[in-house]
Amino acid sequence: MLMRNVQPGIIALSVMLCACSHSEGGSSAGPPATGLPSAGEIVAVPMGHIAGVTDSAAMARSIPNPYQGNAQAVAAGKSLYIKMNCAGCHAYNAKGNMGPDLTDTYWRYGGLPVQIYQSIHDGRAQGMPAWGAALPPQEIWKLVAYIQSLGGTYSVDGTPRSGQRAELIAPELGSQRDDGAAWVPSAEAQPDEAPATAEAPAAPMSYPGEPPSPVPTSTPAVTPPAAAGVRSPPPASPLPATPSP
Amino acid sequence: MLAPRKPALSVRAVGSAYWPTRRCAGVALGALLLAYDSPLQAADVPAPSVTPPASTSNLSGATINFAPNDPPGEWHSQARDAANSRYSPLDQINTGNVGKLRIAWTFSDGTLHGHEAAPLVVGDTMYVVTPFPGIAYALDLSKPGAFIKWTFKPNPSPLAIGKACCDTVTRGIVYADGKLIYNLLDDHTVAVDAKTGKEVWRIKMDNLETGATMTMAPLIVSNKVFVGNSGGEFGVQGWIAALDVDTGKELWRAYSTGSDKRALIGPDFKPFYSWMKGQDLGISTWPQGMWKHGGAAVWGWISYDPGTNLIYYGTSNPSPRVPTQRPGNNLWSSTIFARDADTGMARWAYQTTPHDEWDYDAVNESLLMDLPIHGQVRKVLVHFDRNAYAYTIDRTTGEVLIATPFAYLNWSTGFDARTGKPIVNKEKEPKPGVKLENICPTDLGGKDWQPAAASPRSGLVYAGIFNICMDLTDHEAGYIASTPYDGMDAQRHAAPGGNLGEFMAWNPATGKKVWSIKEQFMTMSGALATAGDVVFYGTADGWFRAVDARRGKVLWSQKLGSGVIGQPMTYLGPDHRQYIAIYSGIGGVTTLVDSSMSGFPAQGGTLYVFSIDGDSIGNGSGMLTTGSSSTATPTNSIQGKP
Repeated sequence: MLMRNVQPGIIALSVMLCACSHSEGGSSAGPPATGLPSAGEIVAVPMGHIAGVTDSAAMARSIPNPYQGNAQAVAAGKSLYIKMNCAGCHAYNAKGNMGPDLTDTYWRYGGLPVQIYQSIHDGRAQGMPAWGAALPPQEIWKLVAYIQSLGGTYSVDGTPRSGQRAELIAPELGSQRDDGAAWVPSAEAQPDEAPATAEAPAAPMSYPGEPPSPVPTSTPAVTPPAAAGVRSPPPASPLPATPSP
Repeated sequence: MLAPRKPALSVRAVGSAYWPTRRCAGVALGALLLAYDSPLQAADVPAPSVTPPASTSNLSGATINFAPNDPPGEWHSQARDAANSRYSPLDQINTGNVGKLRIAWTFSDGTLHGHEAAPLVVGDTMYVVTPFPGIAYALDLSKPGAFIKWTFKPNPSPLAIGKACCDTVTRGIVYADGKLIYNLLDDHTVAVDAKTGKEVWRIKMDNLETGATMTMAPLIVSNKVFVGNSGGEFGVQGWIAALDVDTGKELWRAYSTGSDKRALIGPDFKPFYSWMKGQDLGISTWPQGMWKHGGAAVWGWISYDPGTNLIYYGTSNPSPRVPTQRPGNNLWSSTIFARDADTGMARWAYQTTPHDEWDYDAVNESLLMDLPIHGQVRKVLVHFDRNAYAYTIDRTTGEVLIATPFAYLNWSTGFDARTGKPIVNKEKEPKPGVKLENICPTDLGGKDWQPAAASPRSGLVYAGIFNICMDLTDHEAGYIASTPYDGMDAQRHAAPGGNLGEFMAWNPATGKKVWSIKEQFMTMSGALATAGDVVFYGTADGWFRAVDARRGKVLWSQKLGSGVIGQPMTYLGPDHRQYIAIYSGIGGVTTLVDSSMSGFPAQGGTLYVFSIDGDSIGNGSGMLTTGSSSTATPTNSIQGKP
């Protein structure tokens, strides 16, 4: 939509700003969200390739899951996976049924952590509900951590996995990847203060039998951050901590 | 030459009731072969006036009312008639010549996923509808290759895709009064002008956000079309509704749970068994308020008896599928209803699986027949339930006359004829968090939605059934709108014998299997019975077979492009030739069971049409209707060269 009217260079700049703000900052929010990517930078990751750019995935790669590999977060994510009825569609072994297999390496909407976060947060057009209003960001990241533990997701360091097609582009084509160091935060720039994980024994998990309004029907409109003029983001303000009983 | 070559298949005669003696069988078959030995010629095939094969006894004494008595060569609804017989009076193709069936033409509909519907034939036109996105095609059978007359694209919401528990299927379309009517996965019923392919009306029937979808095939009786919803895995409120055929206006709607008022239960409601009598049982047989998300969807088949003006249909499993969360009988889930077609008011009900613990819906078809039982002709319905009991029920009262297992089961230890209740095996009752091994049948049932067929010639009913068990772990489920309200974690495997599928002939007057054919893969196709004494079915691994209706001998098999879970049908073309049609396109719940087996086919979406020797309009030499425009030089021309 907006992209149509914007010069590719400007997009690239805004993307860089966004990515950099993350890699340099890591100081965006207080506990328990310390180290969590901000809502603004998450929504700035586009679903498609960026017109005029040949390294669109770099932006998504710049946002790792702060809970990745954290055993407690993975366990909490697995618990959420069952209690939020994810298993009803994706199966208890996550190999898919109504919903897609989450253990293979095929990702309709991208298999990088932030892309999986987006799919959970925003929902998808073939039936995936949007959880952004029902689950706070850290709980969604725990779900992502659990899904990452299943082995089918993509790695933020760009290492191709078995079954995943490498996205490397030949240098002679002048790929931005070549000189795009600023796009991809170096390993040191990754938030090494990954959030403490023992906290927050996932209050939202107890969901009672009665149906009432777990999810607000509409989300408040929020002005997009200037740097992220790629899509309209969901609310940046704190989300309801739990689906209200 | 007619014998099947597939090693996985074995034929077994059960009992000996179907033929008086073996010698007699041989004689009859010989006569039959003689009568039909000469190949039918393509151009001048006579109308189906051939003397039927020397008939032998009707083994059950069954008679069937084939109302609305459509023209013999046509097929206007998924079951062909309101009795749900799936029986055709055509007999050009019969036990003597069925081995000469060859492909006449094929049609790719451009979609994948489970193809569970039968085509219709009205006059010279065939109508098909695809799985999501529910595209309808009209094919001109009078033109070579079945020319596409029109295409109707309803463009339903893709949000429905992820709400369909068991693949994005449709179970088909119905024709009446110049209109084609079917359900879209996104909860709309749509009517299309059969001549033009233009939409006549479209009505929103349910809310996708509750997890409700629509997959069932409507039934039309006079000016009413009956439709229902799917979504027993999502905690929907199940319902059936009658719409005006001309306008789509809703005439009545009966919910499956809740108050008597919602369920259209009034003074005329007289269930046969006392435990189904009482006020507002659709509320009181549930824990407080749980009926509101109790499932009991209406996604199966509807039958109609013009004699009593009653429709018959079944409701799905209760939600959530975890039984410990909903103590009580959970009425009216897993229930067969008889309702007045005009008012929707319930006449009787019979719950096949009270307090269902294993996902045993009662949505499977009820075949309406009149049967002599204990010396008395009874108006019955014959129903192969997911719970693996075959029921012969008095359709005027709801009394169970016969209930015997037709597939391997261990969830029940017997049937209490006095109460009309199956006796539950306590060892197979699931508890949350406890893995319970080897429960039979699975949540897919001893038989799923795939409809049976009946023949008034043999008196038998033919059905594809399952031989599958499960290891089950229940997890408590919370209701969250738009997500599954489910909790069953099932691992499925073959029951004793190792075969997953079986095709059988059943005597509904005795409650006994007459013959059966075991199949390595699931048999989730519909059945077709014909006056040629041939029955047809398909397998999940893509075989389509023709079987001698009386002896259970496979007379012909053809491997198709994808697995077969469609419903075979037959029609008479404009050339007066009999054709057999079947969709090939694997999907549905077969992927939950067979997909890890080697040999499981890839997806597809092709209609196959067969005739004797593959003859059809325009086939063979001389079919090219345009002149050659070749500019090739004589040396390069292929003309006249092989």
